[in-house]
Amino acid sequence: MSNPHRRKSVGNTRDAADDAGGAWSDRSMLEGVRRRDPEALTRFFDVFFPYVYNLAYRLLGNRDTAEDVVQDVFLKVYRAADRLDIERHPKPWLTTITYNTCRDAARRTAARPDIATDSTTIGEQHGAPDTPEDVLLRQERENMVERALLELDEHSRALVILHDYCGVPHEEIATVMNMSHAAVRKRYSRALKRLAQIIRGLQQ
Amino acid sequence: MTDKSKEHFNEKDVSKWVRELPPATPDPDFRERLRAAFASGQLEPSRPGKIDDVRGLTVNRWWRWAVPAAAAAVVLFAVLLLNRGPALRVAEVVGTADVRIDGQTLDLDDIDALNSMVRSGAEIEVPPGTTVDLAAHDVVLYEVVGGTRMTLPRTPGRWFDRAAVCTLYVGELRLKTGSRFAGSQLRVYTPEGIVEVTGTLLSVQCDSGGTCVCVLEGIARVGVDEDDLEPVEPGYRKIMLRDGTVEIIPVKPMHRDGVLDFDKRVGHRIGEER
Repeated sequence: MSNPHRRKSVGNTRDAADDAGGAWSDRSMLEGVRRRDPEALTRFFDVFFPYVYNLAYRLLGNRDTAEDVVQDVFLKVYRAADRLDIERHPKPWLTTITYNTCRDAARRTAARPDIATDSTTIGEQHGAPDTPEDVLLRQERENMVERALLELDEHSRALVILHDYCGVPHEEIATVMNMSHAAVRKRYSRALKRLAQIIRGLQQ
Repeated sequence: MTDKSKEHFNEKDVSKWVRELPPATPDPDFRERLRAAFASGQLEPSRPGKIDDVRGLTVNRWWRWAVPAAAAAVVLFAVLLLNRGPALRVAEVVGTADVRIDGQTLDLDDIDALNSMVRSGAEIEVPPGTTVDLAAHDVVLYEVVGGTRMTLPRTPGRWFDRAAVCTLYVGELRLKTGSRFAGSQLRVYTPEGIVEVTGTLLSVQCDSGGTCVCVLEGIARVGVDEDDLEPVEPGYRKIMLRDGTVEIIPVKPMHRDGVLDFDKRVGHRIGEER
């Protein structure tokens, strides 16, 4: 079975869930999840927690709300475990659950984004920076992109995060967001343009 | 950000920068608590209340829009149904010759068959010697005099869509409006002009010479076309001849008597529910 998320995604350290030959394709693990076997559940959690957490955090921009969402997502997974389709990659399913749970949470709460100010939420840097100046420039750009993302409307942000940050293909985003493929492509393109505008605005 | 990237970047660069964003680091305590709870089945909702269940590989939320949409459709249907005015029904038939509705000859004694054919837009032909009275409860009463061919109007709506039209090709139509007609509008088109009724007792006569509108109560607006509509007061009639002559003159006793007789004979039946 091929990986439905073909692009490398969700940060460079977050791809255990993406690996085509990785744990998800381990039928014994998924069968164990269906039986709610604690060991299989633990493995499932280890594989998919980073993906779910990062997606929720990037969509919401608030750590507390993201933690609530992740908790609810895994509760939903546990409750639906006996209906898990072991022939299919669980990631699209998790994407849909996480996206919908984030939308519910965003409607319920007016969570204040803390990405731009809470530097402790950013984890280890990927890649090996050459010089201290490179590190500084990279951090400056990341902060700007994060701030710009949070200035996008909820819908546009979700399109960019799902496609670029999480590597979800447009076809699958269409399913997750209940839109046509053409509409996803068009709105994604508009969202990127808008994001570029915001970044230019922040630079001035 | 370098000076160069400040000046020159496009959507592809922005997409790349989003891809390169670092992962967020969760609180280790939170992760460990959640991991243990998930594995042991001890997970609780993040807040009190119901957590939506999920089905298979998709979250099906069709009911979120289907239920309100169905409710709205039911309300809309109910409003449209309630807005409909009372149906036009045969109040009285006098004469011996059978009438034709939409080309179908109908026995005057078979009121049910007549009623089944009486509907908006139907063309009715009443032969000389026969008179047909049609009533919409409390709204309007028509008398289709012998020798008349016309299309039947629908009953105006109760709250909206309150305009109705009919066409009188030849003959005479007597008309009386009821209490529930207030605010409605009926237009009678003839070969020579338009009669706009907003509440009145009148007759419209149409023959090869032209159209004559006799107003006995209320006010009707009459004209050869939209721009020509002018009020005709009670006791007057407006004549529009085919040669273009138009005049407003007092109603003749013979015309008045015919309409008054109609009112006296069947006018009370406008309030009868059938």
